Amino acid sequence: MYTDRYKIAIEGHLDTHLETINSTKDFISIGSSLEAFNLYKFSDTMNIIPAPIQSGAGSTLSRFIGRIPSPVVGTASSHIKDPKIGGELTNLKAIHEYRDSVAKAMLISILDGDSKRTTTIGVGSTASKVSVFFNCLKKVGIGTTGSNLTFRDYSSKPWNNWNDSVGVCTPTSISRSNNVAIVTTTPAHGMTTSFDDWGIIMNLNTGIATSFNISTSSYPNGVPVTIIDADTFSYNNVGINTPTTAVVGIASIQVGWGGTSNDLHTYLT
Amino acid sequence: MTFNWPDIPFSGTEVDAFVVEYKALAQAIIDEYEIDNDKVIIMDKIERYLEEPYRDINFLKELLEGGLLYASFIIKQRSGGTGPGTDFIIGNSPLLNSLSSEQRGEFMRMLGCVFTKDAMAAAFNSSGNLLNGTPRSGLPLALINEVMNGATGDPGGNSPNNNNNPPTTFLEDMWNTLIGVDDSAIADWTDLGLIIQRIWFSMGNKAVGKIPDFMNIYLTGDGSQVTETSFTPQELADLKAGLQEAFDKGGMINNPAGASKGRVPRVEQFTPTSQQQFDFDMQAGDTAHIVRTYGTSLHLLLGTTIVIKDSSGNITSVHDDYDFIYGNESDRSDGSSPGEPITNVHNGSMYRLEGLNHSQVQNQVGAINFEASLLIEGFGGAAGRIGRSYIIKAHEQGKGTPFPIKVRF
Repeated sequence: MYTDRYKIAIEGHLDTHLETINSTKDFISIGSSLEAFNLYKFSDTMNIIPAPIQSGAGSTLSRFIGRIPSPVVGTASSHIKDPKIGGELTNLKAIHEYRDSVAKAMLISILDGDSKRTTTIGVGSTASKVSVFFNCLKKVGIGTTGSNLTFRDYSSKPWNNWNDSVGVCTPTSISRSNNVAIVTTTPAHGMTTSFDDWGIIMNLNTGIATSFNISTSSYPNGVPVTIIDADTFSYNNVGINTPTTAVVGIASIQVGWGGTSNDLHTYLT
Repeated sequence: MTFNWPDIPFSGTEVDAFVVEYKALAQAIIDEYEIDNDKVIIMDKIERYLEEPYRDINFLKELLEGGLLYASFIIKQRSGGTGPGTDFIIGNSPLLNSLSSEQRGEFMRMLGCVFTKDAMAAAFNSSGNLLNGTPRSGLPLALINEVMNGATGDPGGNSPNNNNNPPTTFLEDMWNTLIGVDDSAIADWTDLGLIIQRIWFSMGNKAVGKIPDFMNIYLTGDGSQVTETSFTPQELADLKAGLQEAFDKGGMINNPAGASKGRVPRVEQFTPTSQQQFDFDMQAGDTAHIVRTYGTSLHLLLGTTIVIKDSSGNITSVHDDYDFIYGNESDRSDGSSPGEPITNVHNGSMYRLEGLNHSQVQNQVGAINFEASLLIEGFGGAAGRIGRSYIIKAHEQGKGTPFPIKVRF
């Protein structure tokens, strides 16, 4: 099979990660029937920051899609764009992220509490849920007073509870190989394998250990982890290969949307 | 505003309750928006505070529709923990695994994935034709010959050269349309031709990519003037470059009205009337030129057109009527200039002056066997024939409204 060619034809539609099922049926076969394998999931499984407008190559693509709104117009001059120009809201990957943001906003608005790990619908009024929805999609804003308003209401969902830590653990050694960090904690980290939505914010103190830290400005709810055993977990961390090194510091344990349990596999014939 | 909600192929107390709540909340959210011109959100709190992608009510509606399925799936997973979707094996998808062609496309749309024929061209272009700068002229043909028709060695391949089985997928339907077995799609402007044209026309000069849009305006519009505001900056730049290409090439070409009528200059300066000078916004020192874009990148977009240059030789504007000798033409017998509002329309000259019927016109310039056209004229020529066939069929059905083009650079 010439899977590369099939990939060219189909990738833009599936708009999601295309998973290799096995060595002979990679993406799709086209002939008397059509088979497509697909896997859909949130592009960011930990955080809730709404995807901002994107620019670049997608603006070209949009003109051919013809379905993406171009007039992103606001009263502020910086937001006014020529409605005739394709706009920057455009490429399919961006649409995926926009859709993720809206789906997350709906889940947060509808579900009880911080909306994590629950299926219970919140008791608030529709108006309050609408307010939460918009709060999820607001820009950061600048400043706190006057015209420099902080746009988001940080005293309300999701900003008042989504990034809350659910515990801490104490890393005692760490290593990195092929951009994957492996952490050993003492005592046990406490993250059970009953859930796959765990995340971590590493905060190590000295030397090379600090290269393993997670910036909360970039990842306010941490990065997802893979549980290895009761005392060990791993997470993706770009950097040089590092042998196991004793470290001092602390790690905040977070909870996100979920890992492979939220993989929506599809198989079409 | 009415939502087009996807069906949710999951069931259960939690999911059902969530879906009901989701839809109700989505409606309440949409009600918060106020609309101007169907597109622009004028409600202050929305336009000012929200990230830009979520301000457009129509786009937000699509996102809400597209988000329902996956949000519901998350609820399903939380309520059940295991089952199809998590313990995935082929054939155990939580979604229907046997779909008709139409259902398959609809399913993709449910996921928020674009699976229209139009978007296939977009995806194709995004995969290599446009994004990296260098046009890859062989790819459209590969798309037809190998991808849409099944590649050599593909056990499911359905090449018409070795398999005459009836088509079962819309991709095969497309192929049969291409080779003329079934040309029903030709009658529908929104169908195959648009894809083929967009694949082809969008590969190089961005302004040329306007052809399908212009043809759509011709077929469905009200004849309103098209100006520079209808082009992106890149399209304008490419349009200007394409016109300059005609000047640079110069020389003589066959008369576009027919090779039997001799050869004419590709570019020809003329003396405009006072009315034309006014209509063309000409200043002292400006010159007017008839430009026959045939043989250049713009020939399928503009044909013969009028270009104004300033005293330094820079192209300042282009003036044209978007009409067809094999469709409807603007009637400028009242002395008005190309590019200005059109007040009278008459049949194209192939009918009006040559007395041909639609079948004869089709035979001359329109639909012939696409495959043969592909071999003889190349992909661009074949795509052009598809486009012309629409114009002729539209004329046969009483459709087609010429419109003026006046673009100032």
